[in-house]
Amino acid sequence: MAEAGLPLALRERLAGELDALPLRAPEPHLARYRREPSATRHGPALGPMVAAGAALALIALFAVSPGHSPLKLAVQIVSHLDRTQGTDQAPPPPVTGRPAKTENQGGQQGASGDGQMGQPGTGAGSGPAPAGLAPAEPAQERSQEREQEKADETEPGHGSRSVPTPRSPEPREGSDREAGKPSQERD
Amino acid sequence: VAGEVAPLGTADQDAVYQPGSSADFDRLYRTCYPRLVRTLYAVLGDGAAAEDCTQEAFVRAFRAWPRFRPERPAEAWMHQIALNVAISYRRRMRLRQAGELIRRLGRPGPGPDPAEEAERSDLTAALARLPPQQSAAIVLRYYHGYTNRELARVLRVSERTVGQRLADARTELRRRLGSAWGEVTPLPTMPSSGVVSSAMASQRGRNG
Repeated sequence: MAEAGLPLALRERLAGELDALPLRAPEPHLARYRREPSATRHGPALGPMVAAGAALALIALFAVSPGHSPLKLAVQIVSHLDRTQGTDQAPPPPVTGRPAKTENQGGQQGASGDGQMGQPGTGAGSGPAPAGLAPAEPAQERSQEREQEKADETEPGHGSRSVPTPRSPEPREGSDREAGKPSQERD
Repeated sequence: VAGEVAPLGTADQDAVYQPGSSADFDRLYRTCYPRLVRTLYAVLGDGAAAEDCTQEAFVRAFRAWPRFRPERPAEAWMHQIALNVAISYRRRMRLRQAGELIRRLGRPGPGPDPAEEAERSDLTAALARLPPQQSAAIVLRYYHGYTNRELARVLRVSERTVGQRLADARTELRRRLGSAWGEVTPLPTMPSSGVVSSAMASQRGRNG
């Protein structure tokens, strides 16, 4: 079975056009392929030149601004890093013993972590959480504290870090009532 | 060297090339350069780009020349490299055109060079708009006289795929050229021993 190919006229036309293509003689380019492509196309290596340029730029910068010596700059950088590192290593906030920050104005008291008298709270608080407790504690700690509170209710006078001892003689109803019991009994 | 080589651009069927030999590579360059440029011109539709890609192909081939296997037909090997270069070139050009289109953002572009358009015939333009594998198959089959088996080795596909690509290319050319398609008389079947296969046969005779 004969293969259906290009028409004869088209094939002749293709041959004529490609044969008539003006070609530059390859003789001048005979040895071009022997050149190292990295040297001809990409230029020399740039790494050392970039490093030298950066060093020159630094030298020029310090020459223009004599007030900034390299040593002084290095000391400033190191001290800044030290300060940054110091803030990074600050201790975490205490779990208890901090004045409660609630939205209610006044009358609330903070709790001492050791079961001692806490300082009056200055913040504002709201919500059903008992006043005097540290806010925003993790749920696990809160559940542990609830268990601890139950144990304290059954054993009055037992000091607990999570049970606040109110200082105010007139504790607000619903806020420090439970927390004040153990301290009153102690008293 | 010049006295020993075949005339410029003619297929050196009985050529034997020694891998790593600079003199043999010069001979290969003289022999294959015009044929490669013509193939790539049909694929790219741009004479200057065809010359650049041919030169790049020879640079790559020279790097791989010590590893060349002499039992392979050298011109088919060069065509393989050159087509890879041309395909990469077309891909780069397409990306560049897309980038220019985005930069213009709707403004009319400069358009094709009129002088270049005038030089290029409808047949060359239609070939250059085909996928590079199809246009290469057309040129290698109907201009250089490769058989389907040799084409399959150059394009690294099966003979069946070569036949399919040729059929697709012919259909697309007929659609693009319209009345210029000319005679509908099909060509007779190409002889089974093409340029490359005769070279391979002579090589086998020498080796065996």
